[in-house]
Amino acid sequence: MRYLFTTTPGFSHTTPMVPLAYAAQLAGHQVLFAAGGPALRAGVGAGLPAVDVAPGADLTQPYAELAATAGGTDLSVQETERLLFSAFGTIGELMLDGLVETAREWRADAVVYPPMLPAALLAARAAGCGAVLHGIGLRHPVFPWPEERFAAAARRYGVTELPRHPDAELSLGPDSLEKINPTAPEDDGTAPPLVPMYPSPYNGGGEIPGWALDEDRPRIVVTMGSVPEHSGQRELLSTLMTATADLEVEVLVTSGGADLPALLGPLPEHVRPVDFVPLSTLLPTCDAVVHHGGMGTMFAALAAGLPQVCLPTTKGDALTNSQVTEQRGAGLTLDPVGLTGDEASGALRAVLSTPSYRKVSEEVSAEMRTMPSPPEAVSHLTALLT
Amino acid sequence: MRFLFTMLPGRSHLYPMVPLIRAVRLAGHQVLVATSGSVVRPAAESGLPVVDIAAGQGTGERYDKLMTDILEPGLPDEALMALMVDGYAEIGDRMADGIARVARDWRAEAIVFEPGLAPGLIVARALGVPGIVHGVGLRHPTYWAMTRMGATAKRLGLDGPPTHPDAEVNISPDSLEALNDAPGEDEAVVQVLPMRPRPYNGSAQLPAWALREGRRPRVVATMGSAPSTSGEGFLLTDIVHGTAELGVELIITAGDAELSALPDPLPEHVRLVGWIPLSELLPTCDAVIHHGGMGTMSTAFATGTPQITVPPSGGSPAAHDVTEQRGAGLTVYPSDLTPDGLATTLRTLLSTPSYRTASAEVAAEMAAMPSPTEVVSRLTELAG
Repeated sequence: MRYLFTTTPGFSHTTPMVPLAYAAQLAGHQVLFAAGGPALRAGVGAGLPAVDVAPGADLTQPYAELAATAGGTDLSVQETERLLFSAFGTIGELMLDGLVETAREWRADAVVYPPMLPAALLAARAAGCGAVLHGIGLRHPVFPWPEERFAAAARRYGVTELPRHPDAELSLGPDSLEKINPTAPEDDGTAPPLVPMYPSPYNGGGEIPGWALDEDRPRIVVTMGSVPEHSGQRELLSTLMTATADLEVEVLVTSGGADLPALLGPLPEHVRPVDFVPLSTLLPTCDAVVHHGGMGTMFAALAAGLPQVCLPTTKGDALTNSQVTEQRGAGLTLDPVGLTGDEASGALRAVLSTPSYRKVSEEVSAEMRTMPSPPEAVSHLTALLT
Repeated sequence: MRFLFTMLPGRSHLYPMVPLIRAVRLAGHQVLVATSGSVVRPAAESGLPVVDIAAGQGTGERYDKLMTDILEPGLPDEALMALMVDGYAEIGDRMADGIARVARDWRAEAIVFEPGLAPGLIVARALGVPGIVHGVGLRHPTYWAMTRMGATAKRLGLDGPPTHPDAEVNISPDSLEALNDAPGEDEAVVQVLPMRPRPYNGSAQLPAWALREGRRPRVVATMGSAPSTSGEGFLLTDIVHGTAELGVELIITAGDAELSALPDPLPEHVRLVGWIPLSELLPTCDAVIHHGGMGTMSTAFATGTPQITVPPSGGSPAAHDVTEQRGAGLTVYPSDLTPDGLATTLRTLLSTPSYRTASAEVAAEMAAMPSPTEVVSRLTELAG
């Protein structure tokens, strides 16, 4: 089979798809990764053959605009969603022609895409090949695309009826989380077969500094994700640094591309800035994770069996992820707006000293391990598509 | 489980191990790559977590010097072997303590190493964990350098250099091994696990034209990942001229090599590219002309591509012989290479179906070998 993988320009929308791509290659299938912007670099950086699907277009701009409009404002969740769908709709439009052409030229048998990129489903149908929806965290309905834009694009490719469903949906969410996931799509009886897969943590390659392997005191990671627009939160990070001073822990703060010393000034002795270290290698040396509610971080923390403190700094899936983590008992969620040092240190003390948070997270980790491996998921998918 | 992978500081030592590293990870285990020098970055750029275990100790420079030294024209086999043993022993000794430190700190439960890096086995024995040798192409005597590593072994707490690993992962198909004079591990003592090679030649963005076949037959010329084998491009220049009248498109993948000898501007039939992974490019090609490196040869076979090998002195001695005897390609020695001679050889290669048939047979044979995923199960049984 020839599997064409595609995703939005986001790094965190790329890394969860890498394990399936590797598994497909190892099973003897052909894989091509078609993307743009940071995702293209992430695909190349994963060692996958990659092509630029929108040369010359700035695919990151719609998302940067969204982050500028929606970040830290008083928009409602609904308004935020509307902006989100519109931004990803624009990204899809910029990628559509390139996707169709790549799928045709490369003679793809199936297009694999995340829920944020409904344009890829149209591209798959326009190119006459199979379509696989690849979850990148908890299950989420495919982002709607404004009907009128979608219909016009479909007509250009001679697709008369707008496609509703892919041929299969790959799901990374373990059952105990999906049961309490408020965004899980409802099954109306027409949904495609669900292919569960172990969310094998992959967060990019990179050099591991010697100190990372050598733990001499409890260690927590603070990460606001991989999007620079979200990482440089001066006030929040300052509060966290102060709040952790008396916990006798080492605090690793990932920069996500932000210049931390410039942002925060001289860092206290217990804080170590980390430019980029693959989380999946770092987390097994850690005791807790403080994060922004991103799917990749949440899943990596759960896979490592670590308790979490969630600070959902955006109103998209970060809210849902944080809510599910807390409800499952694997961590606590705090409102990052107006966060005080006492709240932060209280929550961290709680997740570090109350065994249940770690125990629940370890349960989820064990549950993930019972899910089919990526090589098994590839066999399952291939059987569904042929 | 925690699997530590370690290899000499050369891309051609890392890349053949990448499929197993990925498969180990996909099975839910942890992996860490311990290497040094110029291969740290390619490892990170292959999506792997990597530790530089010999920073500042000149291992990369020593490796590059070895790669240049062995290219000396007319080097007798014994002298070549002596250079390899010296180089591998010296680099291995500089890396041994770092491998041991990381293996301990990270609490490695198995060590996978390639035949060039004897301390991989020394550290496995010192820590009492399984040591697994991973082939990088045709099987050859494991750790030539081990006999020279007595002092290193003692320093790490052993009585002397260990002899056999616990298992050998062999990525070379039987029909090629039948033609290979060099023995692998003793199957009476060591468990040999055959594994399907999944060619990986590094990562890069592909240009759109590389997604499918061209309008003309396409021929790739490569002198491998080490710039030393390309030199200034005199061999490639003969290949450029030799392909001018054949109606083919010639793709030269040159990596970082500075090819000052190439004609400027290049003739219309030539595309010069930096690095396109051969595993992705060859399926769109009709033939490949290469230096006889194990990685290139293996990729050519895996994609069923006929080959012309131009083995520089000091290349992998067996690669071109095995390819030619298997009927999948022809050999042209650099000293005999002329544009006209190459044109004749390439014409023969392209017009005689048997070369492609033989190469496709080996591709099918490789595809039938156990997948990396299956090998991981065997390895965990062994280590568990």
